[in-house]
Amino acid sequence: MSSRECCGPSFGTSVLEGVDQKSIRTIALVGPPNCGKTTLFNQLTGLNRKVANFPGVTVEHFTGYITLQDGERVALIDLPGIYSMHAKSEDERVTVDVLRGQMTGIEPPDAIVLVLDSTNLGRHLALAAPVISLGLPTLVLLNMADSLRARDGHIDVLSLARQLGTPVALVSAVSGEGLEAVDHFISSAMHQPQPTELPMLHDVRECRQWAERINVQSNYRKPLPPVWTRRLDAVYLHRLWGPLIFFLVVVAVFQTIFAAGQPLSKILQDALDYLGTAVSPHVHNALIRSLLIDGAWKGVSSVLVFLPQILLLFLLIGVLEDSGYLARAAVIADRTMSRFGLNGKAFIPLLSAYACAVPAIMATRTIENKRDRLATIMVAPFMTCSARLPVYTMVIAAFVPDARIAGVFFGSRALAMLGLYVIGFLAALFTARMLKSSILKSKDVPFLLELPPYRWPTLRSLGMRLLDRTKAFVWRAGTVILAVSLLLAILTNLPLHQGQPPAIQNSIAGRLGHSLVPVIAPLGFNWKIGVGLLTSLAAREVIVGTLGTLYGVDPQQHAMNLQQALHSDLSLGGAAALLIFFAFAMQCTSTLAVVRRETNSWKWPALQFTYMTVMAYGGAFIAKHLVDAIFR
Amino acid sequence: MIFRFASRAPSSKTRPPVRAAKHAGQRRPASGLPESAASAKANVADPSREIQLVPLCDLPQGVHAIIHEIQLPASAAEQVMLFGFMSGVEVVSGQCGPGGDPRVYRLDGTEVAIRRATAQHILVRIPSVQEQA
Repeated sequence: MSSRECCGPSFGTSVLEGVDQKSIRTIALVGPPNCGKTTLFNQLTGLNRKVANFPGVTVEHFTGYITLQDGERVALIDLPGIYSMHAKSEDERVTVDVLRGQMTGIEPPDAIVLVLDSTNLGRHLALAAPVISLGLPTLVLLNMADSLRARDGHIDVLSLARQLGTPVALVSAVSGEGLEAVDHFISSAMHQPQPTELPMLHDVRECRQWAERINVQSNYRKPLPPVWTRRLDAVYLHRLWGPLIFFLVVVAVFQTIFAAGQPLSKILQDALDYLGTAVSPHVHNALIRSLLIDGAWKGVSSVLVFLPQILLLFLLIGVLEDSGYLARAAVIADRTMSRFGLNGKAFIPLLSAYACAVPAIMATRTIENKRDRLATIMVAPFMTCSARLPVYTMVIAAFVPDARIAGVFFGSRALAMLGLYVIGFLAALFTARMLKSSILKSKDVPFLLELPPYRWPTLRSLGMRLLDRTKAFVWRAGTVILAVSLLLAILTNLPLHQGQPPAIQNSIAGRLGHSLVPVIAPLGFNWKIGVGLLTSLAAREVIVGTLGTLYGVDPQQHAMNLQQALHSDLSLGGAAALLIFFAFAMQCTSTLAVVRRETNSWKWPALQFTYMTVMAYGGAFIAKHLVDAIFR
Repeated sequence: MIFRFASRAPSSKTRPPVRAAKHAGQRRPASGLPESAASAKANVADPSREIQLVPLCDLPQGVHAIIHEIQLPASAAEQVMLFGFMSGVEVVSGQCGPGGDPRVYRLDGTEVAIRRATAQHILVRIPSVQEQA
């Protein structure tokens, strides 16, 4: 997944055969944050880059290709949003560098498509001045035409085109309305813009006044305020109800993951088990059967069964992101964040870390202050990413009895899960506080967050997220987890004694695990968990696959399901220690790699890994002894 | 009872600016603003047109005001200006996070949340009743 999420595209890898690269024209998509550039990009290219209803989702350049009606293929570059041509943050710098032709590996663009939010032209049109003055052929798209009409706004497009000296079109990137203008523009003989006047570009005020004059001359009528957004905000940002609803939303997310996820997961488990037993008789060689079915398949399927929970999590996060609620949640949480020294802009990256730390660390590019950005990068892996979900669910389902708390609404297991998420969050806050009051001290910078109007999440966007996540998850299960499971199955069957596999404790895997016992015994872990901790260094959920394989191969635990087997291996204290260990430990090579790349040094990932491992070990030790003392 | 109620209720609409202006004075006693001079002059001409400068963060919810001055370092000032906080722009104070920080301000048809620490350096004036009419 990291390779898909992190890599900027390069022209060198273009798949166009027989076409001279110089002949491919490049069009850059530019505009303020959250005006719909990526939605437009997806519409035009048929790709599905992540979109959401808050500013700062796109933080890197990404190239896609479109075929025009006359058959010509052109490259379209999606860029992070900018408010001006003076880049303050890393993501803005990407855009400015690409536009100025200073980005290595990217040809300077031949033309620009400037996307502006038509419902917010008072502010957004000011960006047209510096973009037009670049002198490149420019098409101005006024996006969200449907909202403009619905809220009784108006703009005289022809007049605006005359003032700006560029073609202008009213479009809706979501519905596809008016997008043929892009094709027309690129196929036509493109001209340099010839605006009637341009302001002094370095003067923000003058740019605004220029935009205002042009708006007046183009008969721009501001749309009416979004009534529903006001009504909803009166509740969601209410002094009392706001935080309460925020809390209920969080609780509902966890309860849904458990209440709806478990049954779905059970169905998937039965199906996968059935598949295993159906194939088993057709594999005649006992050794190969043991390797493939009991080893590899048990390992892979024990991770695959968590797909429903993960998809539910992503669905709910998707609804919150696309509706615009997350921006409100950022307002509610900001006071807490600022107390711990976190930049206001850190909230959205940290929230996206609940899905995965890799895109979250990329998203910190929106934070202007370097030290604030570093602090956010350092704490992001403490947020409970979706790879921890299978581990948590497995241990909780094995050790926490399913009881109802507060009536039918909230279960004990969801509560345990919520507790783990809170622990991760508190560890992040604590670490941020420490960093910000020592090595990463910095002055406060203004925090400004534009609150987008609420929108209905589109089925397309939600569906794409789920599809994308399913692919990534199944891909991981089919590669890393399959490889580890297979390797482990082999290692549990070696060395052969007179053609027979050894007792599992005496196998290579067994000895490897046993060599870890002196270190992990104080945490209440046996050698099998030790092997799991070792393999989970690749990625957290690999431990689930590893245990699946080990229990599948071990004749004593073969007939048990994963949860029963786990019960026979761990005390309650050990289970608590395992959970705490996973809450704090930095077991993710993709995250370390992305931290190394974004901080441009090994110092930070090394510090992060050491700090988190020490904290995980210490925390697990305390948890074990505390729980054992209480429940004995 | 009745007296107390009556004495409070009518003044509640006109009081905030006055109270807030006091606040502004207390917080920045040595700011050397033109406000005192301006208001003194205005006072002579027409008491109802007195200019009362209030830090944006002290603007009560739902009250309209006009941004008068931004007292932030150049780079920070530019940043808030890009979001539309510029002198002469009308701003309305909106909802806020728990404890009143940060607060959402409506200006130019958009809503922007900013922290108190920033908003206290943006001075606004509340137009008099006649001006609003």
